[in-house]
Amino acid sequence: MLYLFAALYPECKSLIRHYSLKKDTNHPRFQIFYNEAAGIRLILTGVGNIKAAAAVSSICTEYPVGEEDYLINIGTCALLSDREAVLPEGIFLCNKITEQTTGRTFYPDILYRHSFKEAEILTGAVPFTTEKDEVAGIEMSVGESRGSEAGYERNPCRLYDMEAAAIYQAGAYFFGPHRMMFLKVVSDSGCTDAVTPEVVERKMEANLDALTAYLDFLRGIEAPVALKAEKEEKREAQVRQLCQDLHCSKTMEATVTQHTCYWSLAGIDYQAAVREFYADGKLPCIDKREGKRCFEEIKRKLL
Amino acid sequence: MKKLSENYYNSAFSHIYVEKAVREHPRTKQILAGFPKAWVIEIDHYKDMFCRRGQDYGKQHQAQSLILAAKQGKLLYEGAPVCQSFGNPYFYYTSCMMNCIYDCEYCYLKGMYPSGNLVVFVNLEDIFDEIEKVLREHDVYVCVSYDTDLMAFEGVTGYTEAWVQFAERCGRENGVGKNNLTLEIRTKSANYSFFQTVQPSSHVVYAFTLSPQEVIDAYEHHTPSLKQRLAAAAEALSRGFLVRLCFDPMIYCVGWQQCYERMLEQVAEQIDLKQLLDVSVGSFRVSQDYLKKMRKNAPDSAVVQFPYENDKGVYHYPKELTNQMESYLLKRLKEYLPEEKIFLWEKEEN
Repeated sequence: MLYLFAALYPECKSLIRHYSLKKDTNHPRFQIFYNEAAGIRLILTGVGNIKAAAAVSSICTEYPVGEEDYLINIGTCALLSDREAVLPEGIFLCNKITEQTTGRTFYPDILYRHSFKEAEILTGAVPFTTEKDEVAGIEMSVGESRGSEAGYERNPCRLYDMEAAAIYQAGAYFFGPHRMMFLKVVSDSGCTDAVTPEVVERKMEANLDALTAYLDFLRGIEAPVALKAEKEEKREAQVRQLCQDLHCSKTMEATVTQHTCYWSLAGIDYQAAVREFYADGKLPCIDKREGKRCFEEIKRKLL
Repeated sequence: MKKLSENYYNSAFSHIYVEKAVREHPRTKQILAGFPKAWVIEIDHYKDMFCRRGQDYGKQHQAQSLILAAKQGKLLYEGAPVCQSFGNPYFYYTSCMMNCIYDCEYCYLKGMYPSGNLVVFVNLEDIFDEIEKVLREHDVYVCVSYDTDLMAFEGVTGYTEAWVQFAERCGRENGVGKNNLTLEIRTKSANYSFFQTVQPSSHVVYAFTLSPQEVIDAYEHHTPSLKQRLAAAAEALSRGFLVRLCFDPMIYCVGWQQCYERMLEQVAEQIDLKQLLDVSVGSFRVSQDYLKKMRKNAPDSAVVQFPYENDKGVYHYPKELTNQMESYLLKRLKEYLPEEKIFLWEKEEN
């Protein structure tokens, strides 16, 4: 399942349409749109840190997060710049997130291929405006200087939003750093008045193809995982039956599980051996003591 | 948008994290120059990246990031009880790199570190200073490639050569009759050309870890073949380098005896065993804390999920199997080498 978190409806209107997401009218606190078949749940958090963290925490508690799930923060942001700049096009994948109020920094893993530009993002508590003093203050709080004195190119773009750091911190209770992605489209460079719902919608719509290609790619990664889980469930059921027939204690059950796990991974056909034991009448056993003897015999046969 | 390939992962070192404190360090610049297309991200401290909660070691290993940092605090550690000291009373190890480019399923690093990313400490000279301090007190035997494979990453860091130069310098400065420094550089690499460019040193032992090809194929991903490792070892021997062969860890597999027999035949074919400094033998063993993490990280690995026995916090093969495997190899090695050149880990413990 992909859990998409966006602050505002215009940021995800085109996505809702693309994936035919249905509104979950039962949810009292946050607007949720979902498509179970597509494996997507989209949540509108509202603007700001607290709302974003509350939404992540609430949703991830309500819908238990599995190992194959991803958290994706989608939205618009400002370009941090102390000079007039042309707004960059396209989607940015954030590789470094700094919380302005605490100075704490977070690093989502960038393990998977993507075709986006990368950037670092600063998350603040108030909207970013272009007054020079404020820009300078933010620059200092990030603690970095512009330029190439280090002799290599660092992140060329720095962005500003009001949710990413909160979403990362709340999400870290449920997702590893390789399962959280932060995708941002630049809407302005500090002129918040120009950022109307129509502008936001248009910006996101313009990047819809790239965005959905990436989301589909993430969904594709996890398809084999689901198949594996199904196979594993079947094996577990067989082991449970074997443990029952061996009259295993909790400790012995762990031993049997470990052995069967190894045998199946090593390609040792323990099931054939076990079938023989059933055929010879050695299984099921009558009590724990006989079960122990029987399992020792199986081990000797296979190791 | 480019079409996303079927290979999900980024290439290795597509992202390099650099501690602000070392961004001007010459080694940082030299290493970064080798990765002109990488994203370079500045960090305050390597642990901000390396010690994050909930990392997936296996997935990170598929798309390793590089972290360049300064090593602080303790720089030299006393040898761990599960490691072979080869009779050296002052046995130490140091970590100028953490993690490895190879991906051996049974590697203890997978249980020891929270991250699969590779850390390179660029302040090598601080470690050298620390060793020199200890060297004033007594002889020092240091394993410098335990928590990594230095030679495998030589093309990027040049660290093996730096260590060799350091050992040589210590040897010259200390002179005859003074305390002696010996380095062990353990590797699974087949860095054949290294031995053609660097001079042999009586202070440096090159320890090649060998496994049967079946074990390499199954569990030692991205490592050179047995034949390639032996070719590198043979080249080193022919040029007068001190070479040790490590049959440690011995890994159980179905038909292990035939596998190890074939391996020995190949070793004897490519190497003049009499020229070896020594060999070590030891079956797989790992601390219980590490194995617990390794099992969580690698639920699909047969070698990790083997039902090992726990003996005072150390997991190993069942006693009978351990004896069978080690005795077999010892017996066969004695046909080629005098007993005093064969080191068995358990012997050391007793």
